[in-house]
Amino acid sequence: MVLMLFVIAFVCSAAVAGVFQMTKEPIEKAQAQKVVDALRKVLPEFDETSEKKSVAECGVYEAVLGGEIVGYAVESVSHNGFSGDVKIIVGFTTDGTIYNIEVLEQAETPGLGANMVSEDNVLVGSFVGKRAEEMNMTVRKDGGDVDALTAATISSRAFSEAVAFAYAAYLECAAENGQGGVDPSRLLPESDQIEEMELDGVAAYKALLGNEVVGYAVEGRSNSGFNGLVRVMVGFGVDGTIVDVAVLEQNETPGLGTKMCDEGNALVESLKGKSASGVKFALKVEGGDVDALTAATVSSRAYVEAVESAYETFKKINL
Amino acid sequence: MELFAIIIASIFANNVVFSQSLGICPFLGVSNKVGTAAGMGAAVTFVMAISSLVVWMLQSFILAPHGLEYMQTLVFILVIAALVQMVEIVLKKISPSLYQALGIFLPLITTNCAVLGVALLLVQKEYNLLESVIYATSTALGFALALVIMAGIRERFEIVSVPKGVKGVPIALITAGILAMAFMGFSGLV
Amino acid sequence: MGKNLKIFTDGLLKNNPTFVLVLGMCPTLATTTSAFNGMGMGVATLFVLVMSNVVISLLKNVIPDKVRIPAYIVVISSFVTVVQLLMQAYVQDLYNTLGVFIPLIVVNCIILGRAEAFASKNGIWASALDGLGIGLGFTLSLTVVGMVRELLGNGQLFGLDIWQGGGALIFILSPGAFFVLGYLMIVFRKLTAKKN
Repeated sequence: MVLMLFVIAFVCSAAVAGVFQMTKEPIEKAQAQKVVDALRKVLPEFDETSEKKSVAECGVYEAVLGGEIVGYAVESVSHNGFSGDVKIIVGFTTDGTIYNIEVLEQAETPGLGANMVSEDNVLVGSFVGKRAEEMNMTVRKDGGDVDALTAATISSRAFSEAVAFAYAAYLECAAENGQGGVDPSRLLPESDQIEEMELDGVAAYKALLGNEVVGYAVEGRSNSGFNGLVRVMVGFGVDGTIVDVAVLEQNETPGLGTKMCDEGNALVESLKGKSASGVKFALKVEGGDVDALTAATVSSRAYVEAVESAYETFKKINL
Repeated sequence: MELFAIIIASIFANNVVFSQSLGICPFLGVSNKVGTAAGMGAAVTFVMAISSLVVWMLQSFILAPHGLEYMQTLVFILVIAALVQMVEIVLKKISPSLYQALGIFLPLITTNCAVLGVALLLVQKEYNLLESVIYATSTALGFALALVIMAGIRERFEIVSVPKGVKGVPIALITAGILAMAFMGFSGLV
Repeated sequence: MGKNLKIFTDGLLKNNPTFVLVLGMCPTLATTTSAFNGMGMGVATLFVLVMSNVVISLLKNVIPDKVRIPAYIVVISSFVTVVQLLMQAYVQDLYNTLGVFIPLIVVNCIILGRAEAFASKNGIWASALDGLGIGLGFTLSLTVVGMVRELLGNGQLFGLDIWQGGGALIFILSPGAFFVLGYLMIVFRKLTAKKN
């Protein structure tokens, strides 16, 4: 009796294993085809893409046009969908702008969460064309910048989470390739040409207006953030005025230290437009000139330190 | 905090019956009396808690390391069926009074799709052991809650006059629909 | 032949698994968010039902009586896994949409019910027809429920716009599933009652 049951179980498992072997290839092919189609949609024009690289639990494809990397497509997944996984692929251009997003896999409710795959939906619309670093990638209900799909907050949250994962992986990859992810022109005075400069270890750009240098954008770093490295890019006029500051990389506490990325935050507002030579690079509570972020003194201190290091570099190159 | 969110979500906001449409057969079948409904709820909670533990271990130590994930369905359903049998035998020996209370419901649990559904979902959600057990237990509590509420309402149907064509399952389904709408109100919680 | 035809049509109407036997309620409620999804689920179940009916009827003299239920479960879950793999390979979008409900075909009481009540007592040919009839009845019910929900909830049928501006979203959500199934059951009873 037991033997018979074993025989049946054995034959059945063998049959299933057989079908598994048979379908293995078509399944992989179908998945690969889907990714290839999606890559064309989420990236600017390219000749070829690199093999999939595994970065920060996401799959990254580098898009190459004429030997140069023109964008990154990142495959990421959130397990917090309304029913199952939400798997997407996000295309970034080299300056950190989200080019387009395609959904690879979802099982959300038709008419609600499943609208994330429909054309021109608000959810994808709140990401596409935006610069990722300037966004708070949570839905408006949670205080972020993402418009949720009607009556599908959970699906929208999962989608946003997946985009945020993708962005983290993109940053890691872009940094490896020396692409900071910030367009220096918005940190610089008006110019008609921006040149990349060769400097030791840090990125820097020179802005020219009719052959005359009008400013520099310089990277600055600090290792004393709440969770390690904080990298910023600071734009200076030739007279040493701070035009603007952008955060390139940070791992601070969400909702507290991460506010350093927000537009018009206390830190950047107390530096913008000031002449760097007259600024005392320390927080107000410590006798300096910079307003700290609420409840994020350590992060604020690191930010100021990073800006100061950029200023030091600026002094060296602006002779 | 994360665990607390899992508990609230699985009992109320993502209630198995009203939101995920799992375990509907026993929900319609054994919700005529509050007493039996509570018994069924308790039996399911018991089995789900144990099966989540076993299933999690099987998945993490046997299936995943050997790339046998495609055997999930086959393995899980057999394990659940065997487990239900074992629980029945053990209960009979150890606690006859508990067996008296839960015994008749146990054989029905194998085909309760909520049990297999939860087993498959906790693997899909990549929960760790503690989260898995908490998730399974609170999902089962949500199932028991749905069953008892429904039974409370259906006991009333016995004493009111219901049109002939609507009697039985249809009125139960429509009632469940209204309850599901009420449970949608919880979705704001998480 | 007349007897076989009766086996087949019984499954469609007189023993309709959804509206009369009230079996397999979970997929009926969960996967009928659109007509196409409902139909996909129905066809997947149909396949498993026919195949398991055939195999179990073939093995009915070999399987010892005492362990027949575990043996049936093994056979059924093998076919479910096969369906799962085939769908993943050839209709991946549908596979993703139906999600966890494909493996859950295993615990659909219709299949084990037919194995126990019909296939274990009848020949291969009759069992296949029984599976086909019941399976088609199930597919039909799921498609109808899906059509009603899609139309009322989204203003579409099989993804095509019937009217503009969508519908009452509640019908796509789980309460709508209960309502639509409940009212359809009343309508079905009314229609079949008249015939008798």
